[in-house]
Amino acid sequence: MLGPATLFVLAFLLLPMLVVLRYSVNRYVPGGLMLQVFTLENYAHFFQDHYFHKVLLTTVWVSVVCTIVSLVLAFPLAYFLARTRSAAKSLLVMLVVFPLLVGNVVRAAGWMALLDTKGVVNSTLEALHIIKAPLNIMYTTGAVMIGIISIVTPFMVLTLQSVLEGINYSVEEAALNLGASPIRTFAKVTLPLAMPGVIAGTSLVFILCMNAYATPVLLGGPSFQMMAQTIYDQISNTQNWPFGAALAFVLMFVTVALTVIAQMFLQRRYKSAE
Amino acid sequence: MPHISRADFVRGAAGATALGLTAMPRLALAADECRQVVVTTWGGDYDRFLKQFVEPPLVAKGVQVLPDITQEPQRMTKLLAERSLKKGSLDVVSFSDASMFQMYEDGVLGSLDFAKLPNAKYILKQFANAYSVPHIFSAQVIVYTPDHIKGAPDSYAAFWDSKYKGRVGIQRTEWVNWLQLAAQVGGGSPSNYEPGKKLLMDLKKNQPRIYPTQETLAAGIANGDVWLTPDWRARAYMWAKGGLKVESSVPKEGALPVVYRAGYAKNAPDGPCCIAYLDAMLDAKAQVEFATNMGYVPTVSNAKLPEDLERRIGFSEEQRAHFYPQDFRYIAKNNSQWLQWWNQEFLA
Repeated sequence: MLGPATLFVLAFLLLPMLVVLRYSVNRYVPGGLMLQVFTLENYAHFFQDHYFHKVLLTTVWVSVVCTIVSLVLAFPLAYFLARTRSAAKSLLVMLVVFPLLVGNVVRAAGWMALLDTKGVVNSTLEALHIIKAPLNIMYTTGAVMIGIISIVTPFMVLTLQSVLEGINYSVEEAALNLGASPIRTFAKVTLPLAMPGVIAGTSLVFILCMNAYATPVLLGGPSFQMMAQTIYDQISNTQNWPFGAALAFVLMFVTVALTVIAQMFLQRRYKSAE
Repeated sequence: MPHISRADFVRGAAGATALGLTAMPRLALAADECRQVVVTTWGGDYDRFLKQFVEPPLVAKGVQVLPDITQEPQRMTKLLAERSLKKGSLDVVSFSDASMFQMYEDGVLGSLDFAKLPNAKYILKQFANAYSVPHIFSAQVIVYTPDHIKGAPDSYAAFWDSKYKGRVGIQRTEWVNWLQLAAQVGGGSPSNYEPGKKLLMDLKKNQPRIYPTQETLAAGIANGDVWLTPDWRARAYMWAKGGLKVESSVPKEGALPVVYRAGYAKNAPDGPCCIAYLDAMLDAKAQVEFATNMGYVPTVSNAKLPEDLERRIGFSEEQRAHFYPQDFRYIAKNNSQWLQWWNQEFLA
């Protein structure tokens, strides 16, 4: 039987997606909108044009790097938060969540103030005579990655922490008592036990990265394009809804496929470790 | 093959909203009464100044003004989605001139009876059309930093001058404007911007600085990275007002004008209110306030600006007569391929 939640999802998620899927097989009419036909030309356009392949590859590459870096940064913090018995634990969790209270655009503006040619970073380095001319940090792929990682890391920390909280740490202590080194204990005991959190966290963060819009627009260079920005350009700036819809479905398919493949890979590793 | 307009496609998504809005009880009005008007427009300063300078006389008469703040694409979509409804949810609609033209072509605007607008007789003829009132205007000039550039550049060709290598600022979202001005310099016409593409590729060799937004471009000017850029004279005025040391000059090729307009939806629930609101937008005092606070020039002949303000934001009759004409149909038809060229060739 269909419950209210199922009906809600059907009405507000699946049906709009079906409408967009239908748009993606229509034909764009410059200066008008679209012809209601059935054509795969929008998908063909994507597959035939190397520019869009490059945009998709950039999106995937940036997302993979940001996901891995945020995992590396978040794990020690999440581990500390999970194990600490400090009275300030709630405050520390609040501090992790705090950046999420600021919108992505405002946060990007903050990064711009820091990374600009006359920004805090360059001014400080120049004042310390470490550099003679300002570094070009803004409008680079590195700036986009810094911006995205700062946004997604709290999500990774919270997801990992919730799983790490449930681990029985006497297992870790047993491994150490039996002579395993801390690195071996982490690799053979802690990480396999935390794997459900790693899978959930990386999936969540990867999806967020694949759909990033404001940060790449504001911190990326002129030729830097990720998929969300390209879709927005097609839908909003040129009114090419059919192609924009096709790009949206390509992005969704690639995101889901890569997430499922990564999950399967990590789960196999996790099971083999068990 | 059936031709599907935006209206047909977004009806499903927007229908529920439209139904909800139109089902709201509205007062039955006599023909000359105006009680409530829904104004769909830009947010920010524009909306604030409408409230501050245009609406007070209407509000004093008991008119309730309901703002519907959206970006232009959403506004267009909503208007088109409601096209088939007998009574829509929007009364007064604001657009820049290119979008207003597109809405007119799509048949969603009501035709104006200018005899009912007392202020219509003051509209500057060059901005008049049958389907909208011109509210404010400006034009694309050369904005430059006098600290770095001595003597005002008098041609868009200055952007190609090698002595400004690495100092020209470009907004990533302004491909149409850049193609237009490059076409002006490179022998194109209002219906043929193609010669502009070659010139823009030449400009690329001069390593222009490209910014994602107006605000980031302004930051580039502020820190000395950018010495000149094309922009609305109104924007230059607001930048100068905000402390940026910039001046502007009108190119001899003819500046590209922009007119922000208002009209009313064909199926507007409140025709009399639309007329009253549109007339209030043309009021000379309100127009002078917009000019003072936003830098856009009045579109009515009876709005007189202080001499200093006129000098900073205005255009002489000769300059206005020389504004570069725009073929909005040509622009709409080619916009998509231009964006593709811009991303794949110019920005790549």
